[in-house]
Amino acid sequence: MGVFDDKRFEQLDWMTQITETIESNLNGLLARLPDKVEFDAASLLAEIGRGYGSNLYLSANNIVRSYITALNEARNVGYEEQRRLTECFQFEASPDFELDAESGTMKGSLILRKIVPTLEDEELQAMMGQKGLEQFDRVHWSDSSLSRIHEIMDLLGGLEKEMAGRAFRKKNVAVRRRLIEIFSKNEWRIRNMELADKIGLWIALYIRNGDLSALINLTKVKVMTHNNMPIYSIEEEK
Amino acid sequence: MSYGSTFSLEEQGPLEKIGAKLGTSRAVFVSNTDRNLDRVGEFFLQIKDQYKVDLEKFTDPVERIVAQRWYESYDRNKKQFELAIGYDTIYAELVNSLTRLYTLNSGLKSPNQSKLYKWLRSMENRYNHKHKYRDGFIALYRYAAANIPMSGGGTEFGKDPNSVHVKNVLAILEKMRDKDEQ
Repeated sequence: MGVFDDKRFEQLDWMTQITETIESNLNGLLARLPDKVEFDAASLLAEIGRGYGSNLYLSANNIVRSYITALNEARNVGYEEQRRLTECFQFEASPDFELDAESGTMKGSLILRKIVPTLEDEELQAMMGQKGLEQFDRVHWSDSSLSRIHEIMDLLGGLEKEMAGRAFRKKNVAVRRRLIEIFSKNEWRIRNMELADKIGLWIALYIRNGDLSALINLTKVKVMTHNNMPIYSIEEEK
Repeated sequence: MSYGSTFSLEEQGPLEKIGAKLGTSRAVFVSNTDRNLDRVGEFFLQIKDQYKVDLEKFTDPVERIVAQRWYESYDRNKKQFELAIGYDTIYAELVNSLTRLYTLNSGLKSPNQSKLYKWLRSMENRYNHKHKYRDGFIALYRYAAANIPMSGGGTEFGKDPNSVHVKNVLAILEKMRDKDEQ
């Protein structure tokens, strides 16, 4: 078994291998969320926030979040992922829907229905690497080693001009921009969302702490991009 | 005809007493179909039977201003609408109107440098703190609104320094300031 083998890719069925479908826990989570949520008066009244007149509304985001929390997945779902999951749901009210808050009664029905059962690759591609970027954004670059930053810039490629000079902020912006470019254009052909999220995390760990296992993992991914194959997993160093 | 529950007076302010004459909507909601059309992620509610203020009932200028500023807010704990009128803001506007009346008619070159102007500006936000003058300002506004022509669509006092009513108002304001600063 080689160091640069992609075990996950080898386990995939031939159709997925050919089409390079993106793997994501997000679709697994979406499948675990209910197909529809039916409300009674009490549950609706608990969801209505404070507001004025016609600005009172129910938020699918809060409701979806509560289900995600009940599944103990809240920690794994970032802001953008939460937003996208919420967009998979739509409220449906019967024509005779009426909610009497004072008496606590309801007529008709109100349902929150799942209208998107699976997120398509285009949508997943747009979210790829976002959680890693959130980790990346937390690093204080001015406290870090310039040489480590340059190593990362060299590894990402395409940042030769930005490597000149000592301005940390410019390098930060350049690396961030390059990462977004790598994911949006699918340059490295990473097809697993969780692996993509680790790229930003590994960059943050190496720049901040000099974490060598993070650097090794990043280097492995970069080497595997030369195989001209989609990347679903790597042998991670811990 | 009243809707839902009315404001339960705890404050003794004169503007609150006017507000107590106004009602609120019953908290019965239906779907806001216009806003909900093809909408994802949110479901907007609409009050089934919105309370409407009958402005024609209010001929007194102060009551009319309070009625025009009627607002309600849904209290999710009480599950009903409550009055949410900004009495402090209304009071500030009334005092500010009198301040503008003074600056237009004082005859001074720089009225905003005068003691009376500075005192008036300091009183605008004292609805609850300097409440012993509160009734005085409101009564004075009533008197001014009834006797001094307004411009700006009926919201601003005009310039008429020879008017006996204008002189009365300015004199009373001066007396109030004098008493407060003793």
